[in-house]
Amino acid sequence: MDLYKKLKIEDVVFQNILKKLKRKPNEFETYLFASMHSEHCGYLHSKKYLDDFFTNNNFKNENAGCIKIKDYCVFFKIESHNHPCAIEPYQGSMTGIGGIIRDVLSLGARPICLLNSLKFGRIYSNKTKYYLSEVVRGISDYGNSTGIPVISGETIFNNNFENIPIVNVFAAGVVKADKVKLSSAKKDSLIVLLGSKTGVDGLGGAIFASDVLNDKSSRNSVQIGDPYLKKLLIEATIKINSLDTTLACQDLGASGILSSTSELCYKGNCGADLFLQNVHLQNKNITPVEIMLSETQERMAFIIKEEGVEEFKKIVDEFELEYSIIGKTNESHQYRVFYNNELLADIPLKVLCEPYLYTLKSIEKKAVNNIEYKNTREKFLEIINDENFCSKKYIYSQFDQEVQGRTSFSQNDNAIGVLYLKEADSFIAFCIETNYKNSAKVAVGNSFLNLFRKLVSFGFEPLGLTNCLNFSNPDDINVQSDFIDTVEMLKKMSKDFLIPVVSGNVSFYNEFKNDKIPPCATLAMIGVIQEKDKLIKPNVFSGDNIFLLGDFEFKNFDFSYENKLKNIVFDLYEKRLLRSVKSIGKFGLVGTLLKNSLFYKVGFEINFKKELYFREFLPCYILLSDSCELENELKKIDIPFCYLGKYVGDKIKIDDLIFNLDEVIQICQNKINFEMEK
Amino acid sequence: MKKLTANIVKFPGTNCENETLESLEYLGFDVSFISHNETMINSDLIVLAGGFSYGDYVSCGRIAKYSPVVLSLKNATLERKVFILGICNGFQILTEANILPGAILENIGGKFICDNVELNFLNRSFSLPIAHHQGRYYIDDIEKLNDFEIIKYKNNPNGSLANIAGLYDKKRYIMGLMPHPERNMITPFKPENGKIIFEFIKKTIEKDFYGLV
Repeated sequence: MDLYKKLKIEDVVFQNILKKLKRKPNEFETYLFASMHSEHCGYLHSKKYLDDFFTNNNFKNENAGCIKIKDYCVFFKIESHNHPCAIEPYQGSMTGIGGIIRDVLSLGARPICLLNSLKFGRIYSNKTKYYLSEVVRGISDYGNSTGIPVISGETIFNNNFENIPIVNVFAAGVVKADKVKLSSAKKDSLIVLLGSKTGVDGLGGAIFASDVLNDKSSRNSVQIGDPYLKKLLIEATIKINSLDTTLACQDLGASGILSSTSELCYKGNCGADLFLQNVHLQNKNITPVEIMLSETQERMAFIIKEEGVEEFKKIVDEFELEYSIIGKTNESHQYRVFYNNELLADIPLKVLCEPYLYTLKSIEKKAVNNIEYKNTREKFLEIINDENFCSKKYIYSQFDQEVQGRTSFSQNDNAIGVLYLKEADSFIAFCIETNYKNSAKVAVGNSFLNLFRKLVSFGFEPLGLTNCLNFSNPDDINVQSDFIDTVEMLKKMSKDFLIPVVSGNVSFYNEFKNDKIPPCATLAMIGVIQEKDKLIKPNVFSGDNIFLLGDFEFKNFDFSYENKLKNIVFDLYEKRLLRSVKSIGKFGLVGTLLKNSLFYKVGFEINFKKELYFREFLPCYILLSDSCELENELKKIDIPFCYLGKYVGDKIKIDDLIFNLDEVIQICQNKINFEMEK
Repeated sequence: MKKLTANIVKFPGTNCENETLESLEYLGFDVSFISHNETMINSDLIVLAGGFSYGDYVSCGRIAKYSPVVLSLKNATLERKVFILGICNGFQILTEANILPGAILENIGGKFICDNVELNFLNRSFSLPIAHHQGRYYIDDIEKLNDFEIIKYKNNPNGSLANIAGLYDKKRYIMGLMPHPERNMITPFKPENGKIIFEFIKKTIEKDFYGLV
């Protein structure tokens, strides 16, 4: 069997290499291609469709994109770490956090918060309990130790994810706009590797993540995290990136030294000579191929001027880290790799960094109608017993939410996390959401709108979006079609709403035996309030009136409608007529009202349209107010509104149904803890 | 009067130093960081801030207790007046180094806990955040704490003996706390309850070290 086949390079991909290289790659080079032209590194199935997103052109081709707040850039991105978590959930989630931190760090930004979107099987399954406890422990150990608060997140439980846990992690970082470090190398400079000694952990991780999971999936492909070393690396990297002699920076993730150094040089339009004997290693038995492909964690690559070495070394010593000068850039466009004077690879960077790209097919898919329910009481009981609705305190109480002292509002079952960015005297809000229970197009549209509305509910102007697109096998035409629908819908929404997609990530092959995940686009949106006194702490008191603002039969994903509602909400906040506002998500009107009751310990009574009680994603806002002027103010606008009832007492009264709030709280607060301790 | 001075020790792995610095500056301290290798202690207040010193892979504070700065802390209290405050990892280090009595063990549930807790200290009730995996205070003989002021949890979150959340040795001016006062000081929308702790320390230094009332 040909080596390329053994390394899982598809025929068409290999033919493309032969054509462009005009010769057969040697054995060493074949390994490099197998990794760089894997789905995980090369985005073979997706890249064609990701080019024309609406962006703000802030660092479009970097590790993460950003929005600007005054003189500061806030970089953010989501990444998946599904495959490693399926095999080794503790290390998998740790290194997922480690990887996403490096993405913002490599731009010179200080990581300021983490979010996550976790998907598992139902809580009753032992496998879920194992995955859940280990993934959460991994995020907890890594995030807490590196000193980055986890301020928001979502956890979804569904049978679809029983064997394929989906672990998407988000990081944001802040840096002064004039201090951003790019990942484009310059010629005639040094390539320096900083951090862990290179070893054989995570070997072939990129290739492993580019295939469906099976029983033989190797634990060796999973990387091992060291949060303590990462903390030192964070502090050292921020210092090194502030030096003028540091020209570029890139983290080492999938395909380790290979992808980081080749991408640095390809983006910088220069060539590179690498000298592998210089790399600092865990042990001497490691082969040149292993050095190139190792995914040992806690490493960063820098391009520095020769005269900067002394200063660089001083910082490295201060943090008691290790480094090695592993190569030089030049004005050629070749990627050459040497090991003890032997030339192992000599490839044009354009061939190495531009893999074959697939064209996908699309088929017509229909949206699913909301499933109507018959009985309010049954539906209510179903929701309060659903672990998807219940308090996730078991999870978020294991995350440090307030380290760094910036966290104004955090998880606590709130929809969003809010940081105070003192550098720019502004508040930033972060929220994350996935929907999958509809056609790919409608699901991602709903996520987008719900995130938009969540931010608006708290008075935040939505400013930027990132996404992590999780799919199963891209050879399947259904999956191809779902992927295209998702991407097209995202493009349309972000363009209509003028909310740039600043970064993204695609994860295919989320498949195990006969199990496939449904299309899952995890979106995260961030919003800003620049005037400090404009943020109002949401609250609910007994006696607050409940209004519904919006046309509940409105079915389009329409900017002008949403923008109108946004302006009304902002205007009512400005006039101080609102106590708090809520958008309506997966559990409908009643579910949303109930979340407030659980958090603020106050009951409610409503009398409204039965068929709307549990309809998902009503295109409306719930307004809470104790002001008698609100109603008069609402009458002046040309958007429908209605009075639903009020928050009061210790009972939940829906038409003539009555539930005892204390009992509901008992069920919702304890469900996950109770199941986990069984 | 000249400003009171404070030093915050930065161990590799400390991660609460910046908000601690801002909190103390907010109260008028002249604050600077010192390295874990420092042996000269000459400030009014020295703070061991929260975090994971040296990764805390062995046990929390186990490695830090051998650092030059901690070794010199032991003598510092004998030579001159200095207030020592250990917050979270700092408290763990102080007990590991036997600068405060007792030990701090893993939480009873075996998990990290991040939450707001109600506390009692000097007849006052207030809440502060906690965030730790190893915060269960233990001492073999509680009589040893007779001369201490005790900061107590109202609802014990981690299994600490006698609901102990923190200790204050009035004679030697040494305080250890599991809760994080620096997280409830300067952040908008958070209560300013951290002030209760930090102002107590400030007043104690002014009164006992400089004779100001």
